[in-house]
Amino acid sequence: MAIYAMKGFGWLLCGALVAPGCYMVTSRVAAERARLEATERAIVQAKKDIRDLEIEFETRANLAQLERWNGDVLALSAPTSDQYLPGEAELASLRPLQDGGQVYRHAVLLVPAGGAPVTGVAAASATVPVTGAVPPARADAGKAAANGERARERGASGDVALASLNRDVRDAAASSEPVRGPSHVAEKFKGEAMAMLDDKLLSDSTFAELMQAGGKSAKRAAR
Amino acid sequence: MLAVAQVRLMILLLLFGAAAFVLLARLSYLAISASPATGRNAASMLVPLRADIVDRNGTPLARTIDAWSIGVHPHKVIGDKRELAERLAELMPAHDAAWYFRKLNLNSTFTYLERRALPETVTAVNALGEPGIAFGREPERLYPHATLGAHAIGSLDFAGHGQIGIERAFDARLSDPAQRGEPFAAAIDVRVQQALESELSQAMTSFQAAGAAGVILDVQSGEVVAMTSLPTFNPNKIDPAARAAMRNHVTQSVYELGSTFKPITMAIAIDSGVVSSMAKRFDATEPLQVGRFRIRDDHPEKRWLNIPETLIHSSNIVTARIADELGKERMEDMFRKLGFGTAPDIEIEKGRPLWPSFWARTTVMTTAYGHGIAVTPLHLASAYAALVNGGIWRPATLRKVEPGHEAKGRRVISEATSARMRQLLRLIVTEGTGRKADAPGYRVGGKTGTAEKAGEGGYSRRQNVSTFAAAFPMDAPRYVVIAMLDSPVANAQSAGQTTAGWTAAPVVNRVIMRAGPMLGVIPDTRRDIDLSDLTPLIWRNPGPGAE
Repeated sequence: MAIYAMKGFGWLLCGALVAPGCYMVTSRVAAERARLEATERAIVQAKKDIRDLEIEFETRANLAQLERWNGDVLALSAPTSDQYLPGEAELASLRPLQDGGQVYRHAVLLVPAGGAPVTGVAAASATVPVTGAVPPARADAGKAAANGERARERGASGDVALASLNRDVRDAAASSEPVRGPSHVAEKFKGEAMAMLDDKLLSDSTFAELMQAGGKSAKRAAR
Repeated sequence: MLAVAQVRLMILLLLFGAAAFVLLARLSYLAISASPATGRNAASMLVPLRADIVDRNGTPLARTIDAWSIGVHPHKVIGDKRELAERLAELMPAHDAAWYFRKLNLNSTFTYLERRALPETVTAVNALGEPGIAFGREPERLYPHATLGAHAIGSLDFAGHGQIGIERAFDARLSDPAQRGEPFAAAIDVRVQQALESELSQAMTSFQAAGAAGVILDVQSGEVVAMTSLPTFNPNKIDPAARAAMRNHVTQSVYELGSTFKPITMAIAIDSGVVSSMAKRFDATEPLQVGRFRIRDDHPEKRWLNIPETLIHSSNIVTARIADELGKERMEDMFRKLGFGTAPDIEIEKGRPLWPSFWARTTVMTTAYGHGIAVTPLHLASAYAALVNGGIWRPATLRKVEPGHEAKGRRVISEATSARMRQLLRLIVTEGTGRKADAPGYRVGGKTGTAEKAGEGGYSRRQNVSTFAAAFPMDAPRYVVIAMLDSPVANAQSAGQTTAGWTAAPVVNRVIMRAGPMLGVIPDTRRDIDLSDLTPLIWRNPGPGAE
């Protein structure tokens, strides 16, 4: 009788132990699935972000912009035909330092001056339209400071870039060719407030907002 | 009585039971059949609403992005509208407070205040706490390279359909749900496009030209590797004032392209046997009088000229004499075979050429040197491709052509004639009017063309259409380059000249030097096409300074 009673208790105990165990297994599986799900979503989101960043990068470093940097900052030129070698034998027999490097000195012929593309309005009025909206006066002081900062930064980066220029350009600079140095670059950037951003791409309002944002951050930095 | 009540209760019970069963059945069906939202559903978010356009190397030319837009439901605005308008004008200075006030009082359910807004602006406007203002993410087409290749790539209208260019020509393909996940590969190489566009822009600014056009064509496949029409426009921000700039001068505008037609005439003459020998000489001692027409040379040599000399000195008189011998049928037939009778073969918008309504003897003679017939620069590019590629004319295309899938095309001249044309074109650059196009090592061949611009009251001597049509490398031609300047003004850079040799040829030179290596043409000064059988035919003035 007692055993019979114990048997019932045994079943209960068994149920009480196994059922939560089973439940825990399913809940862990569900949790694992949910994590997998979240990871998959994160991957999709990351892919979307990559796409967005890619397009932003492409836009900020579009070819017109790159040409401006290549031409005005780095003073690069298209390679001339004698800078190409037809084979390994010629490469092996190359003596770039022969005669003090005179043989391979080239004048900078093809510096792209980075002329802005001619748009319909420009052609119609024969003057380049002023696209930047006039920012509110209160942002002016900050803006100037921010631009100064930027010019200094860019001047420095111009330094580095110029230091790594190829031999030809440096030679050309040494032989009093009008190659622009970093000081020129800094001046240029001081003058051209925010000209590095493609003003043709951004709308007037966006442009003004960028100016404001620049001013605000400069103020914050000054505090 | 009791039995009836029991039966009614039973029915009620059964009804409740049935309802419970239906619910249970539905629940279990849902539990088994419906699958929860997974990452795979989210992956479909990555498929853009409109396919990307990429260049031949996969660089994006047009993409659809999610941009913020700020709008207002004027009836739902609860705050003071005057004050709100002032705050909005502060945050979005594109418009003044009066403009915003007008928008806030419009009698409509919704209106846009700003499209393609920056996230910071959206946050700032949201902080105003006005429930009537709504924010949305909207798909927007972004062209990262802005004005670059704008005419070829095109733009969208307000409804999101292609307005011009590839966007319009391939609108169905770009918006097809089955295909829009795959980017559309255009034939354009964006680096080459940049080189062409920047060089042409500079020349156009320097010579104060009214317009310019340039195209680079693959001679074997007909792919348009670069296409520029100036003045251009920015497809990201279309200016209603600059609608005229959306006209594509490469495919829509027609010009009398002048002496660039002479090599075509010469090819017909060589191919048909009218010119059997390169040494055959024609009289160019004095201007040619045909009826009331008088055909004269710009730089008269006043002697008999053979075939290479005719092209080198660009003699109108000899070309007209040759065309006269060729006759109307042969000239007309070849022009039709080269597609000059119809709009150019390209997917985007195109203009019809001006084909002579009546082929008089003088028409035959003047069309031989590119007057009296007006075609697009693209027509000329396709014709030059056929002249140098072995004689096969192929339609131009803006779609990337995989190797081996080129259009079959049609034969217009023989292989031998094409080989001869390659020599002659190279000779014009080494010895003749096209010297300034000779990019060292690239074996450039081509022909200048300076046409007087037709206007009211006949041709203007002052206004020219200066064209240079080139192909390179001439020993195994791969690309045709056309540069055209409309009404250039002479300056010191062009030594006071407006002719193509001084204006358009230097553009071609610089474009080839910049773009050649990108197109896989490696310059080599030791290689060139063999001209040894033609050079002895050129008579040189034995005066001082001559060789």
